[in-house]
Formats: sequence, structure tokens, C-alpha cells
Amino acid sequence: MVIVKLSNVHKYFGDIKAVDGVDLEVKAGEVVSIIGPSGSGKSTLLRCINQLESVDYGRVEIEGQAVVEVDSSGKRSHLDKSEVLKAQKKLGMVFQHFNLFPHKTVLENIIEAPMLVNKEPRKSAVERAEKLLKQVGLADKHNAYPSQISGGQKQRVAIARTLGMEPDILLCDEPTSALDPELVGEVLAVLRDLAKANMTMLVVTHEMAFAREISNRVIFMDQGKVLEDGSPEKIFKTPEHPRIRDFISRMI
Amino acid sequence: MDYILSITGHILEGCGLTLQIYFVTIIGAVPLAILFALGRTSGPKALDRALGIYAWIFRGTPLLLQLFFFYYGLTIFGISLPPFGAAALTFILNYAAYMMEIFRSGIQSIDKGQYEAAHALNLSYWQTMRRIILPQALKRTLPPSANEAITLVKDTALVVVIGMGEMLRSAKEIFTRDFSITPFVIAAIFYLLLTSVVINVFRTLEKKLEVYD
Repeated sequence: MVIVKLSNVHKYFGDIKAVDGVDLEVKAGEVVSIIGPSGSGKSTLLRCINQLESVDYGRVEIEGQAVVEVDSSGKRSHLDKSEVLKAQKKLGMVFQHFNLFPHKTVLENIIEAPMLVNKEPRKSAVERAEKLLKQVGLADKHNAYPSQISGGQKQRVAIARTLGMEPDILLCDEPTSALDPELVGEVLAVLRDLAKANMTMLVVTHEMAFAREISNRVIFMDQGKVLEDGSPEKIFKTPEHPRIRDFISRMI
Repeated sequence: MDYILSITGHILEGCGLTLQIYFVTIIGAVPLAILFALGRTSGPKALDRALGIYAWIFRGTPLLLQLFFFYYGLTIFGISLPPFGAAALTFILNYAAYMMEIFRSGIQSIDKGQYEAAHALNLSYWQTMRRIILPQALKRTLPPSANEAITLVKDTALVVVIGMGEMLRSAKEIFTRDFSITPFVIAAIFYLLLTSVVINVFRTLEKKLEVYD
């Protein structure tokens, strides 16, 4: 099953083509990494999928349901709002800067959306949250406020919070870029476990070793375009494009 | 001593009206200011502009003048409000203008990552505001809100100009009768007591909300 499908997606910031006609499909169970130089449009592409950026031209589908459709004149198709919302709920997102809610405890961060959006009873939301906290190795932190835990722990809570909504795909926007080097490992370990448990993931990352190890596919982006889309073996060992070879030799 | 007790009783009667105006203003102005602040930050441009003009008028003219306008001025349009209604309306509109701007600054100070996380978790606009943005924004605006809450205690004295018998007027009446400054001292003590309560309420709130940062 195709979870996310992008067709000819464009996003401009003024004259800058941040995303310049990208086609992409992510199937259930796939772990896809997006790599490339900074400013190449990786994060913007990810943000176009869940409407954190409005697409200027192109089409985004989630599990067969179009969530955005803009024609070349900039006209947006009218889509059934409730269907779009339902489709969007299948997306989970992990941010570079965690974006935990600072006024809520770790546990409250996780149960907030299930209770508010899905009307889940508190008891069952808490039970699931405790399980998720255990899964990310933070069972003892449920009463802590975000300001009282480390960056690595914050990101693990953010992952648990996202999983609390039971998404079909996890969009990760540079999940370790804001972390001190010694804290990167614990977050990657959690993502690695999720990959092993068959979670579908689309990860924008600068961690080359990680991308190579956990991905089924690696996408290289440059200047808003996908330069190459292939197996990690192919991209890291025998990339077709000289720019990719350059980039990878500088990163490793 | 008996003299002091008797005039204290009279001043206390005025104090009742002071408190009524105070609480009616708070209860009316705070929710209104929150709604207006949301209108300015996430409503259409025209609404933002209209609220900007509202703030310009109510912050740019004397509260005393506004009080005259709503009590005497409206009679020209055939609307005549009782003194308490005119005072409540004036104070609510005036304080909502200031509080709107305070809350707006609080809302705008919240990191956009908070909105993005709420969006990514599929919270609606109202859920995002009610549960995520406003609690943080209101906490940040406690210190300037305390200023307004303290100023309001003293501004209530202005209603004497439309003939209402609040605390300061009670004191003035005794002063006129007995030619003694004691009633003023007692009124001052009452004002200090009231503002001390306000200060303490805000201090407690700040302390309570300190836990998370």
C-alpha cells in the first residue's frame, strides 16, 4: 500500500524554488531517508506533506486520498474537508526542535491529542502513554516537565507523543540535528527500533551512517529536486551524480 | 475610637461599590480581551484593523472622558444608562483595550513550533488556542496584567464624577462634614489593602505556574 504519494510538488519562497517538481512514493513498511545539502528543500518537502507549508503546485495523496491538489494556475481543488482531516491523521511528525508543550508534563504531552482529538478516555490514554514511555525508555519521567529533561529525552518524548496518535507513517524532520553529539545515539536507537518494528518512516537527516543502516531507500535532494532515489548501497557506493559523490565524501 | 469605627463603617459601604465595579470589570474585560487578542492575531485583516482603531480610541482618550461619554453623551442618541451600567460598560471597554494588547503580545511571543506540533497532532484551531497557546501566553502576561489589575483598583474612584458613592466619595463626604483627614487615611488604608490582595493573588499565580520553566 502506498502511504504517501507526491506528484510534481512545487513550493516557492518568493523567487526561490524550495521544492521544484518532486515525485515521491512511500509504501507501507518502507524507511526512506532524505539527504542532501542544507537549503536543498528536504525539510520543506516533508512539511508540504502535512500542510505545514502550503503547496504552490502539485498533488499530495495520503493512502489514496488527495489532501492537496493545486493546478498550474494556482487553483486549489475543493476536497472533502473531513476526508482530508481523516487522511492527515495518518501522519505523525517529529520535529528538529521537539516542540513539546512546556506547560504540560511528559505524560500530559502524550495524552493531550488522543483525548482531545480522538476523545479517548483518560484512563486508556494514560495506559497507552505509559506503554509508549516504556518503549522509548522514559517510564520514570512521566511527571517531569520538558524543561527538566535532556534534549535526547525530549525528542524521545516527542516520538512517543507522535506515536500516541497511532500514525501510519512517521515524518522525521532532522530529529537529531538540535542535539548534543552524545545524545544523538539514544534518539537514533529509538528510531531504529521503530524501523525494525516495521514502522513506515520518511526521515530527513544528516546522519549518514544512520540513513545507510536503517533505510530501504535513500533520496538525494539538491536545489529542490530529487537527484537520485535508490537503495542505500547504490547512493552511498555508486551514485550516478558527481554532486552526490562530493556530498557523501564530505559527510563521511 | 468610636469616631474612627463609625466613619470606617461609612467608608466600607463605599468600598462595596468599589468592589462591585472591580469584579464586573475583570469578569467582563478579561474574556473580551482574550477574544479580541485572538481576533487580532488570527482573524481577518479587517478585524485586526478595526480592533486596532478600538484600542487607539480607548487607550488614547482619558478614562474620565469615556465615563462622561457613556453616561451623559449617549443620552443624545436617546440611550440613557444607569450610573452603574455606564461605569461598567466604560471600564470593561477601556480595560479590554489594554488587556487585548497585553494578551496579543503574549500570544505572539509563543514559538511557532508550538502551533506546528499542535497542527501535526491534528488539534483544531480552538483546541490549539485553548489548550496549548493561551495557557502559555497568559502565564507570560501575568506581570503586565498585574499592573492593570492594580491600576483598576484606583481607577474605580473615577465613578464619583457620575454621581456614584464609592469609597473615595464616602471619605470625602466625611471630610466635608467633620473637616478631618482621618477618613482619607482610612480610605488610603483600604486601597492599600485591596491592592495588596491583588498583588498577592498574582504573586501566588506566578509561583504556581513557575513549575514548568
